[in-house]
Amino acid sequence: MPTLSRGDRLLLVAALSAFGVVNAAYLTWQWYAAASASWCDLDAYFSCSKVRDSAWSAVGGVPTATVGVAGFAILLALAVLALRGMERLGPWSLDRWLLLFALAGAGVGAGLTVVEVFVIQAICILCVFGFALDLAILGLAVTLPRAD
Amino acid sequence: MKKCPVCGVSVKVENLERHVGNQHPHETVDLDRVLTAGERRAARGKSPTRPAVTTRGIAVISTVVIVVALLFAIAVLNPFRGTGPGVGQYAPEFTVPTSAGGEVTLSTYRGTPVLLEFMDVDCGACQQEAGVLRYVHENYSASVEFLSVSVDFVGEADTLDRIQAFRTSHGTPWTHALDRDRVARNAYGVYSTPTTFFLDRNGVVVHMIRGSAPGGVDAYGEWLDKAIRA
Repeated sequence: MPTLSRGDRLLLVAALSAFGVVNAAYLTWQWYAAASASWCDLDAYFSCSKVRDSAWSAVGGVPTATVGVAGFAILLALAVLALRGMERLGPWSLDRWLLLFALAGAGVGAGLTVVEVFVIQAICILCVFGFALDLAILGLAVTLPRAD
Repeated sequence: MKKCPVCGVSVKVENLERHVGNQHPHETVDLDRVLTAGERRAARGKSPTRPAVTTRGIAVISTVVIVVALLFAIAVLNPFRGTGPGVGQYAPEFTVPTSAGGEVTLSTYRGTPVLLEFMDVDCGACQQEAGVLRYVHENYSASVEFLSVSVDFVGEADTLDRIQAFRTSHGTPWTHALDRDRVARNAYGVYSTPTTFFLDRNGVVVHMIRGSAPGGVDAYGEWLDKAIRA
């Protein structure tokens, strides 16, 4: 995206991260309240319920989606700090922190998507939605240092 | 810190230029006379520079936000999900495993009216309704087939063993099954339990009740009579 300034990209990261927080929070809420009428089941394969019912949906009683809430919230906070003019956080630049957390998020998302396809054999559309947000944020984070 | 040449308030060196601009916009202040060249350089280095957001960027971001919000809403609200058969429509076919072993296919009941209940072992309303249905079954088992299908909505995951235990403990002798792949649930548009369909002998929906039957045994009797007469 050569036409977008650094500020544009950071604002886009913040917007996508905010969607990520909402999406992961919704998944977390659904984990606790599975009987909702708005659960995203299309058929036996594209089924959030099937993924939710699997052993992978929670670790130690804590829904996996809470990791998404935390990860996207961190990305959102980093983007907001960068938009406010902060350049460094501790030893690293904010760009590097953003790239690090975007990479971590995309890595976790990729891993969970592989689990969905090959282990659970069902796709949770909202989980894929979160993974797509991760990838988009990663793409923006990669280009940030080169943006003016 | 430096004193503002206009109001005399102490202000950080790096904030002085912004302070003068914001607080005294109509004053003409020559900061070069207030700050040394070194202080100005240091202030420039410390002062946070907010990255600019362009008009084009706002347009792109707004478009992305709208598209993502739409995709999210579609995924959550799922307008493509099955709404289930309405009254007068044929009940969708399905085959599901039963708690007693084997499978049950809805069309094998063709020729006999069917009370088709979608339930969950852990659903409180379903547990209460089991007592009502047991009584109804005692009166209608000769002329109506009863079939309860767990759609596993709430609580611990329903298994065939748990469903069989439910069947035994509630004294509901008819066939109980598990919609493991949610095929029946989606085909019937079941989003809460219990949801009960009354089918006539041709497999056509005569009536549907979401939740407990408001009139209890009498309501079941009324709709089963209609299903038998249909």
